[in-house]
Amino acid sequence: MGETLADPERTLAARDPGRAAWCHFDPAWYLLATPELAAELDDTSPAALRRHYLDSGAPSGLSPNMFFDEAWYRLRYPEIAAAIAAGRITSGYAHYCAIGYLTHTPHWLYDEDVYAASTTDISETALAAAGCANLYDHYLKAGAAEGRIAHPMFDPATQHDASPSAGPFERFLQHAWATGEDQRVSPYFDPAWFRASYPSLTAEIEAGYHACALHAYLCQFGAQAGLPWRDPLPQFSEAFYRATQPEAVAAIQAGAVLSGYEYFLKFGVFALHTPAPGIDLAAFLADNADLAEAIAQGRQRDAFAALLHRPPRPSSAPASPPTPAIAPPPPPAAATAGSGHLEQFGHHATAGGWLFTGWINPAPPALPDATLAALLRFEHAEIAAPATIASYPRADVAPLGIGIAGFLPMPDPQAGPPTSLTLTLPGGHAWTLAPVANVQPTHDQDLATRLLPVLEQLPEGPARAQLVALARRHFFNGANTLPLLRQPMFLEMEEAIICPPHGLTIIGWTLSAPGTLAAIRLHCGPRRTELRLADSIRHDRPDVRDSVGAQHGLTADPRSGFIAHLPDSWQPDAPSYLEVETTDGQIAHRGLNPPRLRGMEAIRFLADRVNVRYNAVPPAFDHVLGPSITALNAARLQTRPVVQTIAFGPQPQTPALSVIVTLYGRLDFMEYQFALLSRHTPAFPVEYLYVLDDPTLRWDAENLAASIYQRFRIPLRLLLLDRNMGYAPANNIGLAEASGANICFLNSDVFPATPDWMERLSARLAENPTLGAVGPLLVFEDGCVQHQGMHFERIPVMGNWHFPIHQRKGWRPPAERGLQPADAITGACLMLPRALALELGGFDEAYLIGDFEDADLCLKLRARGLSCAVDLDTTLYHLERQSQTGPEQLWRRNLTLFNAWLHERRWAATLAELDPPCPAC
Amino acid sequence: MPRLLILSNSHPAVSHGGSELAAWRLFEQFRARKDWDTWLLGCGREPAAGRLGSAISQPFSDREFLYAAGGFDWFKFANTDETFPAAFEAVLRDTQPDILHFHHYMNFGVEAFLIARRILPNVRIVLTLHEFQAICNHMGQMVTRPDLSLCYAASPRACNRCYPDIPRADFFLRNTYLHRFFALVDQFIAPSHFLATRFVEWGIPAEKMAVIENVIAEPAPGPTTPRTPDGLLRLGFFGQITPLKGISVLLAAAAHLHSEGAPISFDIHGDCSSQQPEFQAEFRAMLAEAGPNVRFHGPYDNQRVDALMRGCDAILVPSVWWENSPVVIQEALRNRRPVICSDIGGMAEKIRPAQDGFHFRMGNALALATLLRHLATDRTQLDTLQATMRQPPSANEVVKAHVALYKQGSSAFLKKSAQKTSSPGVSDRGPDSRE
Repeated sequence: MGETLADPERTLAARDPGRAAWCHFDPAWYLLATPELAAELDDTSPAALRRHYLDSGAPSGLSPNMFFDEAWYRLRYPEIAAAIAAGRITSGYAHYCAIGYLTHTPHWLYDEDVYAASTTDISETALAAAGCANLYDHYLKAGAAEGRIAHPMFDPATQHDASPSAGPFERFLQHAWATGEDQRVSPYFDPAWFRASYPSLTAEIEAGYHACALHAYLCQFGAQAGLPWRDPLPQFSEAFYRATQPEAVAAIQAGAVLSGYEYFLKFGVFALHTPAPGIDLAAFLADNADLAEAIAQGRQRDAFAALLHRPPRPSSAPASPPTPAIAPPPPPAAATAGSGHLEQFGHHATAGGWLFTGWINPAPPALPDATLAALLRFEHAEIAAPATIASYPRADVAPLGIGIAGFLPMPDPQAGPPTSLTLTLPGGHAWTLAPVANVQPTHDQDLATRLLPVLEQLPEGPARAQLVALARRHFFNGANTLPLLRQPMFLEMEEAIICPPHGLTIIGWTLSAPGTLAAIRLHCGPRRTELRLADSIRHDRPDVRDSVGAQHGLTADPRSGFIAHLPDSWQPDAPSYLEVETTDGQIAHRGLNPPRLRGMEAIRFLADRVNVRYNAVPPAFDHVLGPSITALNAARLQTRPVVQTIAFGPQPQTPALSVIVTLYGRLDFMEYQFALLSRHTPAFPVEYLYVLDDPTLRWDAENLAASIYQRFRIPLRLLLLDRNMGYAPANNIGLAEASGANICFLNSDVFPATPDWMERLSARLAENPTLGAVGPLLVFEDGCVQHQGMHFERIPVMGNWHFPIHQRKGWRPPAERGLQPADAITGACLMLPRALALELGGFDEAYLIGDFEDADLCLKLRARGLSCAVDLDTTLYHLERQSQTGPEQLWRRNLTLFNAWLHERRWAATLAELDPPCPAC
Repeated sequence: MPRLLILSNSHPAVSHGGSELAAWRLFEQFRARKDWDTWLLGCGREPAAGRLGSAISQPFSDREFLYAAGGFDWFKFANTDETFPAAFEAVLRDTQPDILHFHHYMNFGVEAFLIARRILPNVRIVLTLHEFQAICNHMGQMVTRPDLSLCYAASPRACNRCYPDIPRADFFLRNTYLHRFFALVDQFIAPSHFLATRFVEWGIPAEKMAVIENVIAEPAPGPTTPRTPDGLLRLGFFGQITPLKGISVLLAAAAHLHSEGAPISFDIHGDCSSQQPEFQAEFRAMLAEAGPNVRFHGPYDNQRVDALMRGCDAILVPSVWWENSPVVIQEALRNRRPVICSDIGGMAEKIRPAQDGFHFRMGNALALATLLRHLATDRTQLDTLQATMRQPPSANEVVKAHVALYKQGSSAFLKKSAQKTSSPGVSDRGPDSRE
């Protein structure tokens, strides 16, 4: 063991010109490089920081000073990292001080081999005489100031105003650690490009993981986890280089170098290796006659540096970054039909389309680095879309062919494997590519893994950037990754409701700075559907604005709440998640609240959350509530109730009339109805069918019906539904059970005033063959008109849709008598022939909660040339329950609006006829 | 021999309310007559009043039936007990009455009129009214909720003000329901003109209405306690101690008179144990304030009412609701005690001022105190009433009046016609659209 290792008092002493410059503990830098220590430690005195380094810093990988980089050392020498992990040595620094200093490289920006090549003029004896422990010590103490190169990517000459107290190397490091700012310190690394290409970098530097972009490039710890080594500048492709230089890969595997670029800079560049597709250093050298001489004289290190300094072809269009040279293939004579093959292809869900590589033949005169018209064919389908295409030269298909890579948007991949792809240039050149025999598509993450090495070797340009970004889009792993976005962006869900079979309605809120959100998409199994906020119902969420919004300065738009309906987006039992795309191309994901609401509960939940008026009504129903409620209601009605029929008393065999009453909530109305019916014995047999649409009241209804029959001796049947169905289905169940020649739909809150009302209404039907349905005059308890017929009028606040309006409602009864025609009559008491009712299918069950069904039925009659009328000689009471207003009745209003929406869509033409637009308007 | 079935909402063996006692005494009178065949159908709401599986039984005698009442809708007086119609039908078929005389419709339900009409199309249905239950949902008192002001007429609008939770439409339905069945009654009897007028105003045809006092007990013989030598005016209060009986008016007047040292004493007989705790506390507090001339004796047995009244110089009836024909007034008159009462409703009708007693402004304690001070000072005012004071009608007179009504428009039963019972299923003969 060397004495330095045995003596931490010396290795961790203050900096001393008498010792190696790298051998000290620098408390000020230690605190600078580990900013969280300031908060962690009560005592940040040099002694306390040194103690911290000894106790926890060194074992956990912190460095004692700026010149020894513990993390890099462990990255560069994995065997030392293993020895530390095994507890055989305490730290890389201890190893370096003890023995490593003789052979190892201690810092990411210092290369022992490179410096040795720069210091062939200095003998070991001279080194010792100068008081230097090793070459690195020499570099720190003198070499850097002398402008000697110790790393290809750091040229001390770039640090012009180096102060005598700190050399250029030290000064550069000090500046980087203190500010996080980049400097261009060699031609071989482009910090600005690097930051732009790896957007997560800035945040990492800000968080203190790296001193600067160069540090981040040289210390790519992700490589240990298998991540691809990042590129330093646009003119070098690590993936391409590794793919084309097996000896570089071997050197990396042997641990001689960390990256292909390191190999290239140290060796390959002198052998004129191709750094990236299309960059031909030999050709460059040949084109620039003076260059070989400059290199030979040492004025220029290598051809690559020269290429980086000046564009390869002075005549070519200026491009930034410089566009690599592509050998122009011979131009085809005219627009031709070419061919080609798809080699690797598949659907990438988060990219939202097909990614592919392959080649085409003949190569076009110029393939625009943009979009081409594309047609992707499948066995039973095809899709045309603009495809993003990038091309690159390929020796194996040259000189006539050219390699291509591309992307074709197609959210839903359900068409199966593609059979061919046709690409067309604006001038008419077209190529049809067939999949290579026996190659099956791979998808998503597998596809990305296969394609990225190829995509990354594409020539630099927008197409390459887009393709690489698309392929790199990560997949949902169950975590909410919105917080990782560079801009604050929030997407929260209150509820997701399945609108069977494949619709999904999402209630939630979202907040982001204006212009930062590009799209929200739902992924569900193979389906990928955009959640279009423009088509959703937006509403104020003051709670969100005042909390999250205020916290993040996102208070511009208070309408953060949304309800969106996504048709054809849901796949039962398939994994699902939401994807957010930012305008700068970032992607984040979050999970979906498991849908739990169904049927009426779901309908009511939705209807309770919307408060729209006037012209906000139609879009809300066209895009969201209309399709949502239609689907939910249709699904709800799929399950038909079990109907149990109980007969009280002997039922009439051939009734002339069936009276159908549905019961919901209140049962006692039945008693009043029978009390009043019992005043009069009808002239013909009547059957009474009471449909209980309220399963919770079953026992009460049975008992009350039994008692009513005993009291009044009027036979009736009770139809008990095991689930709540609603007005139209319940009445239709009654209709199916009825056997009278006529039927009368009667509300439970309608009570006879004219004793022989049934005979009178039946007679009207018998006397008028064109009369489809007839109803009585209905009055309130105070004798005012409740109903004497309806007509249709637009109501602006209710979406300007047509509503059935009760004529003269609330006025004293009319002086006229007899049969009065009406556009429509109420279903509260509506008599029509049973055969006709059955033909029409009863009330339309698509409507909810019992309005508009009657109007719809009357318009169906009208469509058959039959009329409706009110018999003003016949009166019944209708104690229409007071319609309550206020927020708790919001859902009822919205269900009425839903019915109006449906009714308007069904009957627009008829309604225009009945309510012609005013000619003056 | 004419057959009479009297129906009572209770039975003296079960409870001692005014209506069941009235029904019972009428029954006793007719049962004693050789020229009438009479039965009583009472009700018991106590558990196990009936026999298992049989809604109507005969626990007391072969002339007395008892219906074990079941489910009941107190809002519209509908009987939801599905066993009642058949059980009632059995009683009707067994007794074959010519006259069906209901004392009240509670417990039977108003549909009983329809059932009776269906079984016995020609039976004469008589109904004695006891308070304003059919008109007023507030325990039939016709005073408002919650402030207990006097009410002059019911309407869906007015009733909804007393019961904001019950919609107007429901009051309309209640009214419609009751009228539908009241239309089946041939003859109404009210014990006071005041009650009769209210029901006629409510919609009962005046020609169907008659006023007959209920039968009351004969006075128990006994001596009248002589006037005290010191000239103390002894006043008695008999009845339930409730807010509507005006007990607070009495106590406030007593406190006033005590502060003046007036020679007047108050003996309060009655039960307040079933009242709300707040009212009981208020009563006791006022009692303590009222001074030593007020004595509270608690509940009394009706057997002793004559003796207790004879120990008083006058009887106080300070009720703050209308009253109908208070039994306590009849009891006072039969014991020849003058009555000092509120100047409204059935009380004002039964007591003629300066002939049977005196009125004071209802609810006005100061007016009562002034009147009493006056009467204590000049005792001749009470003494002279003995010459003019009326006597309640005798039981015999009441029975005669009933027989006359029973016979009116119903000579059929006197002819003893054979057709008594209709076959089931025949429609009733109720008017179609009387409502």
